[in-house]
Amino acid sequence: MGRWFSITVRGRLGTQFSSAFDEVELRHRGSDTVISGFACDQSYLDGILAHLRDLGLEVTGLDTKAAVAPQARSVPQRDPAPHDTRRRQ
Amino acid sequence: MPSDIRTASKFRPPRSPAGSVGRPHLVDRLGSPTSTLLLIAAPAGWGKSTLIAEWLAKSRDDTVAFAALDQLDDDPTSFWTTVIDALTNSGLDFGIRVPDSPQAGGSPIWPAVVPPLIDQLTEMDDPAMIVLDDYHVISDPRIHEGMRYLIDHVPDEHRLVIATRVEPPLRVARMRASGWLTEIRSADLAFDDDEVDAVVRSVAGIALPAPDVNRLRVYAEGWPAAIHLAALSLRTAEPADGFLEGFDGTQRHIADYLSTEVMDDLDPRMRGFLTRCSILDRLTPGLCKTVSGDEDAARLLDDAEEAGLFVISLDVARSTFRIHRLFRDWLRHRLAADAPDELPELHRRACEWYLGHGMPEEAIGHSLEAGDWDRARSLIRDVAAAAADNGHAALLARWLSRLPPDELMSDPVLAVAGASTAATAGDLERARSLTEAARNAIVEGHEPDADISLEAEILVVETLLELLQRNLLTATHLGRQAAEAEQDPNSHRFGIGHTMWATALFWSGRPAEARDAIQRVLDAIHTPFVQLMAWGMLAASCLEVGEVERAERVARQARTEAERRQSGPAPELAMSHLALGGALTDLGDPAEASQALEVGIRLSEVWNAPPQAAYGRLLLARLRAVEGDVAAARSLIDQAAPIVETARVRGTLQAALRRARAAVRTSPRRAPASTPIELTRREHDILGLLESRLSQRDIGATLGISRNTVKSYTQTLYRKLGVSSREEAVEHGRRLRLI
Repeated sequence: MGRWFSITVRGRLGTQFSSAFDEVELRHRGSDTVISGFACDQSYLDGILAHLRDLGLEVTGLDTKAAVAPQARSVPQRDPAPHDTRRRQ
Repeated sequence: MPSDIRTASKFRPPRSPAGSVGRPHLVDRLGSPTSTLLLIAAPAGWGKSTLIAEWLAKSRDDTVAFAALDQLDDDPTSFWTTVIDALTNSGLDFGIRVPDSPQAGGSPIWPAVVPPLIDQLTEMDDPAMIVLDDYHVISDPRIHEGMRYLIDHVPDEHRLVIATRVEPPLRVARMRASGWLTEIRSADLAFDDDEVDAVVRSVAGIALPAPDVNRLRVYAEGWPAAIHLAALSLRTAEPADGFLEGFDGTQRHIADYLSTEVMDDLDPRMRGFLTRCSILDRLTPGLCKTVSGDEDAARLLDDAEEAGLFVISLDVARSTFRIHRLFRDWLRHRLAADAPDELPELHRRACEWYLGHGMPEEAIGHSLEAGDWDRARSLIRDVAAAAADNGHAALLARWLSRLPPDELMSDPVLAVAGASTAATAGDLERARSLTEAARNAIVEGHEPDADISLEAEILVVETLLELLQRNLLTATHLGRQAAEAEQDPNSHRFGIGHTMWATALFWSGRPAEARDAIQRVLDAIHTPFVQLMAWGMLAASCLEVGEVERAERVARQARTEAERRQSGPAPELAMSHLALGGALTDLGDPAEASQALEVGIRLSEVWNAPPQAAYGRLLLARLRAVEGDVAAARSLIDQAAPIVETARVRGTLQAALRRARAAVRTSPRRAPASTPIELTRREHDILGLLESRLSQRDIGATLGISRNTVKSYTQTLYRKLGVSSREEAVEHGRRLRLI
């Protein structure tokens, strides 16, 4: 079962990252960037973290939350806020 | 037997390991003809390679280009060479040559490989498959960029298969949405109860009661590697012994627990053999014999494979094997914990074997692991020049980063190589400290045969550093020294040195010589920003000798190339902008000329290059004078003149100053209504369109130029006509019969 994730990275990421993963959402928060989305399994999250490492980016925060219901991955996911998952119950 | 075990096994699809169970439902999904991209993504031990083996064994009639990637492929030149070699091995000889890119920050090479590859695939009658296993070893963003292009453009009838432990950064979601992607992930690869039962029967030769089968599957979460290990340990243990009690439910612990169980059951000779050989990525009987010291290496490898001990043969001839990553890591860990003193010696043996078999790159890896720094340094020095020239700069940088700082700093050749890769990667601090170290090492006599090339290389790195810090004048000075020190016309030192040398020639008023000097070395320059500078200097030299059209062409080429690389408004483009503006002034396109000159002046100021900015102002002054705006021209000349007078090198600046002053003297002034107004063709076209009801944006679209450019033309028009609105311009234009 997949997990919602939210990764905070130092610096303001741009198209460089979204050209690699097209299902994640990028938001700027101050001088940081928050990458969030839905990881259907461990390999997906590992891939994102590996790419951040390859780009030499510093990860300052990582948060995941188990999805209550399995997600259809073809649906672009928006906000991994808790209320979203609660509604699905 | 081929001596190169890397290539011998690299292009052969894996074989199904002993004891594996067939997975027809997954093979069917892979065979689905609608997808152009097949992605198999799961961590180690989920059976990715085994699945590919089973599937490919059933697709013998298809053309399959297979490559098992490894760490040496994490370098653009190596990667695309591997892909092309895989195709050639499958009988598809497309005759595509992968270019070298000697510098770490060099221009991407995939545009020279991928589009021709797609063209060739498009022309094929029969479908082909390109299978890349272990794609997770790739970290170089330039490789991913090329792969994204390939995925986007690969013709529908062909298929691309990527197996990886982690999600690849290849933007595959849009393919998923359009149904062109088939995915097999860990959830799909997880064993069900029937498969667990089949594995236990095949490996352990016993049947477990159904509740135990289910329990094993649930504990291992369907993870095939753990279930295989459990089956191995069941060969000797009785289920009734309660061996399942040892599981605590987390996968890593299961693997450790089971590996221990399996290893303790082995005879000591096999155990010692596998443990020692675990330091190797690929195993051949000869190599294993050297490393383990066991004469029977060939038989032990066969036995291990037969017994399903995670030793997998990579080719039909069973001459090359690998130990499954999961088991190998566990063995290495065990070796490091139980016999740490033995490790350096094992790596040293592996290093010697690889050297004796002509594989210096693998040898270097083992010498670094052995901590044999003298050996590592001398091996890296042997291949450093070739690595830089054959486009393996990324690999070179990784080796150097694994040497302890002291070892690197005391070796001038390696320190310079490290400084060069650091400079092109933009790490100024590291580059500077390494060049200093190199100079110190030479002075201290660590390098008795320090030759002229080493001196030139240091000068080139220092030139690059000054350029990156935007000290154009110092860079010119150093570059000239580098050009004089370097004799080999094909080396990148020669290219960079001569670009800077040509820059000096240009400013001293010898543009024809500057043009010829750059032309000679253009092909030897591989550092992108130096390339852009060289083009800019070539364009400006052409402008100064009156080859206006060529100046425009070269300058536009530089701008297009910079846009393609998305390098933004780079200061190294300043000269191209200035040359373009100067050329367009003569070619009668004042609006674009004005824009280009203003950008060029701004970038020159960023460069910290006052003479260059002054040159730009003088070109702009001339343009303003030609347009009839004498006041603006005079003010620009006033700004530039003091810099021209105090500049150390004055030739070209003085020529530009003379031209600007002459243009002011012959300026048409602001045209009174009685004198004929001369419009350029573009301005004429725009005036005609102003008569219509088209918006500025639409006028731009009609002429294929941007709205801002239209705006700028319109202002020039208004000024020439002495009007202040569109209506007045049209009216005035009609009266003067310009429309």
